[in-house]
Amino acid sequence: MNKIIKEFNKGIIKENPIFVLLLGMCPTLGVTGTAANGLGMGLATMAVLIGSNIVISILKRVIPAKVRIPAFIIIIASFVTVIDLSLNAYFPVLYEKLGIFIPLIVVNCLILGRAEGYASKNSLFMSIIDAAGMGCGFTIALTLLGSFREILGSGSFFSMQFVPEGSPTFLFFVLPGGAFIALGILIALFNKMQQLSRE
Amino acid sequence: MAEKPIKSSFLNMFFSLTGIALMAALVLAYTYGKTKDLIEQTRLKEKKAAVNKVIPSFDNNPLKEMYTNKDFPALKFYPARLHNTAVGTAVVSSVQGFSDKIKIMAGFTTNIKIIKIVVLEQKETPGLGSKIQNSSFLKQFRGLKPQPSAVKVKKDGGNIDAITAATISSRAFCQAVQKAVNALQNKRSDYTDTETCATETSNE
Amino acid sequence: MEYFTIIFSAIFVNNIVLSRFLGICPFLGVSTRVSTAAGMSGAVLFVMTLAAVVTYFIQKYLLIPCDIEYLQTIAFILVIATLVQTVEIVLKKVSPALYQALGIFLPLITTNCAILGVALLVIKNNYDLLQTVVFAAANALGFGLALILFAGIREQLDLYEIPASMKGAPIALITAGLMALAFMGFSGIV
Repeated sequence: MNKIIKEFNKGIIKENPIFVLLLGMCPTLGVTGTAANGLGMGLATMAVLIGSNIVISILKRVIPAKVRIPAFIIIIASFVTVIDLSLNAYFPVLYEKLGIFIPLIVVNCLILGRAEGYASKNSLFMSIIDAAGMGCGFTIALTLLGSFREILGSGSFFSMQFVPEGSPTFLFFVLPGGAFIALGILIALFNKMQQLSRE
Repeated sequence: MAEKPIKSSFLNMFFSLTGIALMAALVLAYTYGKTKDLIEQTRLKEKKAAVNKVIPSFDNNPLKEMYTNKDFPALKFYPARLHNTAVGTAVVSSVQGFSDKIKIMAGFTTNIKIIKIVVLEQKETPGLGSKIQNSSFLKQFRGLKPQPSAVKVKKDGGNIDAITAATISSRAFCQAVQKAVNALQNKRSDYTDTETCATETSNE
Repeated sequence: MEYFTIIFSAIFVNNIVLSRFLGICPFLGVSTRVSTAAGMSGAVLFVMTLAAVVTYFIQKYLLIPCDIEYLQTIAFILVIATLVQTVEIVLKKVSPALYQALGIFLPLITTNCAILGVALLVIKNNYDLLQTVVFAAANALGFGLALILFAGIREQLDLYEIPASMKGAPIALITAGLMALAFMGFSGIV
């Protein structure tokens, strides 16, 4: 039981995909203008991650080593397309907001990384836990960044305005430059917290 | 512990990849089939809702009767009817703004008077040019008669108050509206012809 | 004139890294020295242009006619992965020197979201073949520009004392943010 909890938690703190491993940066910066977008992207990526980890873990014995990368790519791309079609059909607003970054989930180094580094070598159950942990860590990081940028940049949180319309905000954080800097600040804070907890 | 995958012989590789590719194709074809209609429906709903925003009441399907004008290739016209009489036209017009294309949907009466305008797409500078989608800017256009004076910002001799520090975006917006007006005026002389044409197409 | 707009916009106004957020992983990972940045940029220029052209043909003559556009993601990424593999093999035979120079960058390019991103943007913008080539090459140049400038700054940063929690990613990101801000100045030129 302890092992399971440890495997899950590693994705959230110790090996957080964004704050520590620095994987999956493109969607992190591209769709975190609002907290809702960050959350949506995180969940979509987590769905693909869990799905592909499951399939790859099940099929790991019948995929010859030499063709594993193309095989993984086909599997991951299929899940991405399923998510893409599903979002388009059932959550059209989120689909429009995430735009080009939905098909780009397929090149999210996080997913291929977990497939190659974990799912192809571990049991089905543990692969699911690993994917869930990493996915949660990813989603939390994205939502955090999105919240940071939305609160400071638009004066709202999950589209709930808490400053009167038209009042000045740190608009900068909604722009590309602000995305980089906001993420830089968050990672620095994360590092500092890790440092303090070690002392 | 990690078990070794099967040998990478040619046959194994071939069957493995083919098998996976086939499974993928099946799953995707299935998902596509299930979501195709829903996706199309949502798109149509969105377009219809956009027309609804700029023309208050109609009972035809403007999307079915969409027509274009070869002198204004980027524009799309959606005629609206209530009880079989024309009540106006919604026009999708786009023009290059400060950063990227600005796309608007403008509703006109049959006399080419503006009913209402909504911004469909814009990528102007947030906090400056992006204000063209604020009601404070858009409400200037309600009920505007673009004749005889053209739709222009005050700086260019018109009646529209540009957004402070976003003259280019405001100007582009006015240009998009004026484009729609020009196209409608062009068609005005044979407006009745258009109606007949449209009715004919809808009867097919 | 229209081509000038495409080129200027792709390199400066809508820079693929600093404005569209594509290609961040190699941007952060391969930009510690100017020489490695230059090598990566060269590889990207080659693959990006080739990939855009091949995916253009696939979209036009396979996906649309057969009504299987929903297979776009799979088809494109497989094309890109295959292309990178092929380029690697061909380069090894034809120009071993160049292959050595590009070294590890080639396989890394497959997961460069900029490549897939540009291919998707070409489809979205409905470009014809020549516009596709120009757009892809220009974006690759923009990528190279951002990468080399960034590497130059990072080489300088190495010479300074940076607080522990800011070392590495945070200071790099803040630098990138300031660069993105500077590039915003190009907005509105075309």
